[in-house]
Amino acid sequence: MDYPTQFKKLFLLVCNSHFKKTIMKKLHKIILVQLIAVFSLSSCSDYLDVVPDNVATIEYAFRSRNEAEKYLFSCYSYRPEIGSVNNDPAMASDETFKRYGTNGNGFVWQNTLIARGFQTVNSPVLNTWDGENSSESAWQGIRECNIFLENIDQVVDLTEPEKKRWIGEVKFLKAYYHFYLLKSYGPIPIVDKNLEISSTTGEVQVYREPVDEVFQYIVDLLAEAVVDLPNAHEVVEGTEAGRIDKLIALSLRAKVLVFAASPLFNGNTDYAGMIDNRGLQLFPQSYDENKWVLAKMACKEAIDECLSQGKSLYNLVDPLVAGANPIFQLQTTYREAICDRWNQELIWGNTRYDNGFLSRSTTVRLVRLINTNDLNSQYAPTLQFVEKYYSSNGVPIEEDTEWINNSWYSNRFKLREMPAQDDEKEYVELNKYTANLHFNRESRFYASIGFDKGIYYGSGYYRFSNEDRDVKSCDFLKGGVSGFQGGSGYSISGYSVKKLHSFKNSQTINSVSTEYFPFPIMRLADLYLLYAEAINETDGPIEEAFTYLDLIRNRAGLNGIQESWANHSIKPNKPNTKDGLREIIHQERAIELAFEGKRFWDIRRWKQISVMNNQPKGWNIQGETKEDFYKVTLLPRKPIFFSTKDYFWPIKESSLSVNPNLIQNYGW
Amino acid sequence: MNKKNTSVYDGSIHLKKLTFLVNLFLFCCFSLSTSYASGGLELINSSKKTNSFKNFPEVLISTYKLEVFQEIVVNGKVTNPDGDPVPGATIIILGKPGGVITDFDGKFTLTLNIGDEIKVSFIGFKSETIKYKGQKEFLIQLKEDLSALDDITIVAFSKQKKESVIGSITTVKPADLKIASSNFTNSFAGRVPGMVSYQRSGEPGQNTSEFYIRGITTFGYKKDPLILIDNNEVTTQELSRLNPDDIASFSIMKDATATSLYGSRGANGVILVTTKEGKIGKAKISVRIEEAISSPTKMVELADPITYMQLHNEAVRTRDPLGVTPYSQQKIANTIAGVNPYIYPANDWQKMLFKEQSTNKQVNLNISGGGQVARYYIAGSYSTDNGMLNVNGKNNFNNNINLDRYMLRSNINIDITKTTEAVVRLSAAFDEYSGPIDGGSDLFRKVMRTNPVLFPATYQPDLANQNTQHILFGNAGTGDFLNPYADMTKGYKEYMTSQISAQFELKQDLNFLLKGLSLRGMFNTNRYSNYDINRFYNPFYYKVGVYDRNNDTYILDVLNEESGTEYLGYSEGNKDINSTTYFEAALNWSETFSKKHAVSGLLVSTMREKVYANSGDLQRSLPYRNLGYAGRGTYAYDSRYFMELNFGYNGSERFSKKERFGFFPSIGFGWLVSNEKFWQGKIKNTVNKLKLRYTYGLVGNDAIGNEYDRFFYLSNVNLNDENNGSSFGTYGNTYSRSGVSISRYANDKITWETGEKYNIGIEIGLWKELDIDADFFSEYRTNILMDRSSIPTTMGLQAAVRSNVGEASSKGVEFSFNYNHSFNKDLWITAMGNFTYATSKFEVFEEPEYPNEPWKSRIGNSLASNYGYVAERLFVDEEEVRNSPVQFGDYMAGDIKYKDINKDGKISELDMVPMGYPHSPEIVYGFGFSGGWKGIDISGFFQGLARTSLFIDANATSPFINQQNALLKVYADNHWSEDNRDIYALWPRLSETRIQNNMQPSNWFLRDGSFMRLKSVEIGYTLPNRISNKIYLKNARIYMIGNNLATFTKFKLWDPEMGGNGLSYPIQKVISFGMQLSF
Repeated sequence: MDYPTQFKKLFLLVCNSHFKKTIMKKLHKIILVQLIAVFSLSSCSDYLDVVPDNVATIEYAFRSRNEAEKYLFSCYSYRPEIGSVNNDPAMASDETFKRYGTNGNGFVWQNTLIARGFQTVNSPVLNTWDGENSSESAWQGIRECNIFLENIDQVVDLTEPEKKRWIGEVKFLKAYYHFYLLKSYGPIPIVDKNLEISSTTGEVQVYREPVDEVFQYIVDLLAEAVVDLPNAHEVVEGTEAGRIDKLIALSLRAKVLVFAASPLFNGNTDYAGMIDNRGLQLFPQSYDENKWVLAKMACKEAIDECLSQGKSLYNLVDPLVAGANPIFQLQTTYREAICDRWNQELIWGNTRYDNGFLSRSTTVRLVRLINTNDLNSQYAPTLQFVEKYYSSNGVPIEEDTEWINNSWYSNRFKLREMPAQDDEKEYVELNKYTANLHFNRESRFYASIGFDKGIYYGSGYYRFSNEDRDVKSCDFLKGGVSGFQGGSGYSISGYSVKKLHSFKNSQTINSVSTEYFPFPIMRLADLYLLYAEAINETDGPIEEAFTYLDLIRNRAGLNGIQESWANHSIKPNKPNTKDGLREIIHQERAIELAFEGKRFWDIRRWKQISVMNNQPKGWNIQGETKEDFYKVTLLPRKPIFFSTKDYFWPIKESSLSVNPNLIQNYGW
Repeated sequence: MNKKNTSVYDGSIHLKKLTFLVNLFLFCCFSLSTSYASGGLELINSSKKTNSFKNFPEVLISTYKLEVFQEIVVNGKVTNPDGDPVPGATIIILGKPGGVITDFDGKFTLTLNIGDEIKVSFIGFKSETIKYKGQKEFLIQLKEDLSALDDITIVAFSKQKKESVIGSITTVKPADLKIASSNFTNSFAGRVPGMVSYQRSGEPGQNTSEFYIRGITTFGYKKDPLILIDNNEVTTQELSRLNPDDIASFSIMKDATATSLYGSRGANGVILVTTKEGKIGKAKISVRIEEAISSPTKMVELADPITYMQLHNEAVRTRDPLGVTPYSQQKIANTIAGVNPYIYPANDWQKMLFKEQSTNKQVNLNISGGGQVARYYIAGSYSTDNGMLNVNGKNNFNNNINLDRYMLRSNINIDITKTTEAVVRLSAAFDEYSGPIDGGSDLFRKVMRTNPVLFPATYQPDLANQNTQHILFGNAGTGDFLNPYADMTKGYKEYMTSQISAQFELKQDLNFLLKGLSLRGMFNTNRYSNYDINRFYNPFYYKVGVYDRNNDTYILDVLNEESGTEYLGYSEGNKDINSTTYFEAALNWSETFSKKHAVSGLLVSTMREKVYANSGDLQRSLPYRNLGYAGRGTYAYDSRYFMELNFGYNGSERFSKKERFGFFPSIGFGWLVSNEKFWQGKIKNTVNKLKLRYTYGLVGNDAIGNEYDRFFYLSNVNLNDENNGSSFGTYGNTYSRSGVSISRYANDKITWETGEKYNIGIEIGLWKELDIDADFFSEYRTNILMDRSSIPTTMGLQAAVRSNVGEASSKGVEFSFNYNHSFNKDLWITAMGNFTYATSKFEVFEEPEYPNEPWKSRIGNSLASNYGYVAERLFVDEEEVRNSPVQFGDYMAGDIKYKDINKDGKISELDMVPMGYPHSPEIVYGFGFSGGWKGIDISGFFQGLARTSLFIDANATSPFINQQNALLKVYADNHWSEDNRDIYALWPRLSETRIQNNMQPSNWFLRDGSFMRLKSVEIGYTLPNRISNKIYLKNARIYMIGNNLATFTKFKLWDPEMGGNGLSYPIQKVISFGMQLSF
């Protein structure tokens, strides 16, 4: 009803009527009509219909290919931030140690809280279950995937092949989200179909399913997805790199099966007590070797498919280093396996993380920056992990006869009396002193670790000759260019991770530039190592296992395992036993995949979480002289005791209250 | 959660059947009333045929003229005590029907017999009865009646005689709401029985009080009452700009009978303000000028810089014996010795940033008057409030807070015909603000986050900087530390707010159709706009590079050469524009039959629309609408028995069609015992008034959920949500697409919440001097919208699913008294007091089941309960730490030890319990007196809150965080240390990082927030008429008001009225001097 007009009419009527008494006689009737109009209810009910047509609702998301593509991207958006230096829990295992909890700007680095044993049931850190504390909710991601799968047929302008591909991608994501939850929480509910919003309280109180069922569900779903997914070369790098293809699905399937076969899930009796209120036991209690067989087959299948689609271990020499010393070429090739974007070795690269922040958190300062926080090296390797790298002979330093005989091993934490010699100047700055530990190591050590007085090839400095000493080295002493200068941006151990940023990055006094690369979620070397591990578990140390391990070692400039151990180890027979080779594979994985967020999950599936209990060590970064600096220092961490409970995240206490059918993980 | 297998959506919307029945009833009533009205019209119409259309007194007089013998025509004049004519006064001859009304000059003509008694009455004056003794002329001087104005009470959409009001309505004299603040809402505390009000900040422009009527009975977003100025709904901010001088009446409606006409909007109570109108007479000019000085009631006390350094060192060492102490002994020694303060700074940031007092000014002017045809009331006012921030002389701009407010109001009443009146009300309020970039409170909080010894606020230029134009601000490290002085002086913010309201009202007397019938229509529009602008430079920060100890000179290093600027930058803030349109039509009828049966009826229809310009979302950009019909029927028998029926029938656009309209009926009964025959004589002299009231009814609230959550029956999706998108391609982001996100799932069953209110009231008048009112009230609120907590996160929903399942109740009592006594002509005294106790509790609150932790359930607790862990004491030693249940993060001896309530070996959410009193007070009271002797008047008023608790913010008061946070003096004096292992110390073991364990909400930091304060003291002196008349003044008064002069409380850290917000801009103690003149 147009009320101002009504009112005006009424107003005029009342006024006019008084002056023109001629219409007086009709007045009362007119007023009465007006009154009824003013008070009438029916004529005004649509006054409250303020919502016009075409207000966006969920149905609009599937009206066209363009909108549906956004929905596809929404499904992708719940991927965890793999490779994020602060929000990927896997970036906080025993490999590194970070300053207390926060970066310079006061943000808490969530994953550090886990590494320091501050996980809680009240407000779990990186809580993928509820989507809290810097983590997306994987359940929301799964719901999005299901909505997508339910509705994608409505899109009219989507071609059949493209639809097939999208469905494959979403099925993969659905499986992947389940897997991420599974490795974080163990047994989980399976959400294959969405529950209606109007579901009853009983229906929404779902149960955690036994891990074997969840593994089976994931593997089956991945098998479904593989059929629909494109081959690697069909994914257009320019616009689609990072999207899911067949190789990714096959490799994930291999990895899922390796997890299923690993000690944490295969016959783990620690969790025998996890029985829900239906009486179901959630962890299988007997070891099943066949799980390793399935894993082995899946790894082989994935490797074969990768090789047939043109994947290979990265072995290129970047044109920028074509003229450089072969030592630098070897190191650079290893670094570029990670940092050369979308290279031949990469199977699945993550496009969802802040590469620039990772670079700044790993790079050391080689010049005096105006803002020391620009490069903070906070992602700092521990001394223990630095020890893990092989000697230049390709065996562990504690086994290396040369290291033992020359007392390099026993004096490894001491300053070498002799400074770096001319033939060592590509590793350590000429005529400078550093610890024995930093001499005579394998190329991956020099390619991965920034250490005091260590040569830092790249970062804008490529020329290296006696005349032009352009290549920089680190100086981690207090007040040194790379070391502690006050503020909050510094390495707490006196080491930095050289591996996770491109050698093409550059730094000047007032600017830092970084190269983009997708963080490797899966690369071929990982698959080779998984395959070797599965072979060893099923067949023991057979040739096939050594073949794949040696491919990785050769790329790093090392000889084969059997040869290296035979010639240089005090335990020459170690590779020839199942247990010995297992130990070697574990160390090889640790070195090759160091800092890439793999070890966090490995030490869990291997049930080796106790390594986290070692108090992390580093150098005395407050030392201003080399004598002061080279003192092994315990890094400030409250003593913690990681135990059986720490293999899994706790489920938030309030989530258990909401759904009494869920049982809490062991120990929480 | 005990409703297993019920639908998630199936909220207990059990009112539906009731609503339907009541709807039916409404329609019956409606048709009845219409037919009665038309029948009445016919009757009148037939009699009209003989009588011409004239003003009724004349008609009646002419009728009775014929019966009178020996009449004498008498002329007369009615004046007020000043001798001015009183137009419009009614004169009747007692015992005879009819009467006359005085004309514009106060004159009248009557035909009388000797011995007739005439009664002259006019609103605002005491009626006079005079016996006619045969004189030719009458000169009648009326005396002002101060209580007469109280006889009419403003009720919803209408007015009623006070004695017939059954609903719980409190009317506050506008004079009581005058305090020395330009913010009107600050005057409520303790003045209004039934209102819980408190002020949390003292910053000009941000100091609006929070107020609730009879406490809070909802957990939805809108808890505060509906505010109407001249029937037009306004925001709290608009109310705060109101000038008490312009107020004709201020009423608070509290129970169902008073508010049910507002239907789905009245559940939280209603504040109804009407503004003054002009009266017939010569122009009356009134001016009030006030000048005030304000200073904080209490400043938070900080530790001195030396203690700060020593304790910061202690904080590092006590946590990590190998830790590097931030301050060398040499620095401490030199600071104590007062060596060069630029090298060894020891800042008192509070002193540096804040002045001890500031000044405010206020000028109000109003002119009223009018003639037969038109009456006017015009008012203008200007106020300026200044903040307490210092200004650096090097800048030519003013970074201190300066808030200028201008207001203009014009109310014009025009008699278009003898039965038609038009009212035009225009009002405009403009705010002009200039102040620091982040506001005053932020600076107070910044001081709490600043280190006193790291650097001076500014440096004296060194040799190299002799010619530098900019201020050399101090900083440390890489220039990332907080220098609040730089933040304060680096620029200024300006905002402008305009609010204009135009109202047109038309009243038509329909006596010619039916006696006592009138029609009223009103159209109102409101426009509001606000914008802000920041202008600032980026300060240059310096630190000392080299210090030459021998010559005591230093060389400064600039820390931010590239980012610092000498010129001003600029940024624009929010722009907020909205407009409201309101339409109201009302039909009023009242009539008394046989002198004993007083009947009245009212029907109202209202429409309201509000539109926001910068809504930021399609659904929010759509108009906010309301449609309402309301009615009232009253019946009074012999001024003894009263009954009242009310209803509101309201619709809101937020709900689906079938849930859109709600019916809210109410009923009330009253018994004026003192008008009974048996209540005469002695008892009447003692208890001159005794009235009992009972009301019951339903009221609604459609402002549920989230203000911006518009249409519950529609889903709200963002089909272009960048946060939910993904990126792919060569560089990881070469191809990006936004994603889809859902912020609300559709639910067409959501509807308004309903309050069922009961009220029992008693009014007692004693010796005609003391009035006591007491009300007992209770409310049961159902259909409160809340999140369904039974939905586990495994559902994967992005937004909470909600429905009307919550229920809450409240009850309480309010009590007030008024005492008036005049000893003689010159000496009088009044006293007043009020007390409100309101408590609430959760009745139904969907929450997880806590079979082992019954204390976790909210049910039965107050809606404003505080929750926290039970802190036992501080840990004695490491062994105790090891042997105690696991707590939070990293902690050691001297940190807070919590009680493991459920004994599961860990301190978790399940160990949180309700504690202390609610954060919103349950008791509010105020009492005061005033007295006068001849020209001098004096009054004093106390106000207080009780049964409330507040948390000291452990996060914000943690010292040394990031090498910055300030140290409270009380913490410095009373903390756990290795030398003084006081396990009951105020602050636990020091640390330079936040110890998560100690930051948990717990009773360790819970304090009793109750207080009583001397809210105001006023002394005034009115010049005797003989003096004021000489200087052409009608009246002149000078006065002095002091506000918040003294506070009595157990809580000493800051002004307890600020609650947990104590680290921000403090509440002000104000002393003002004023002058009131009228011409």
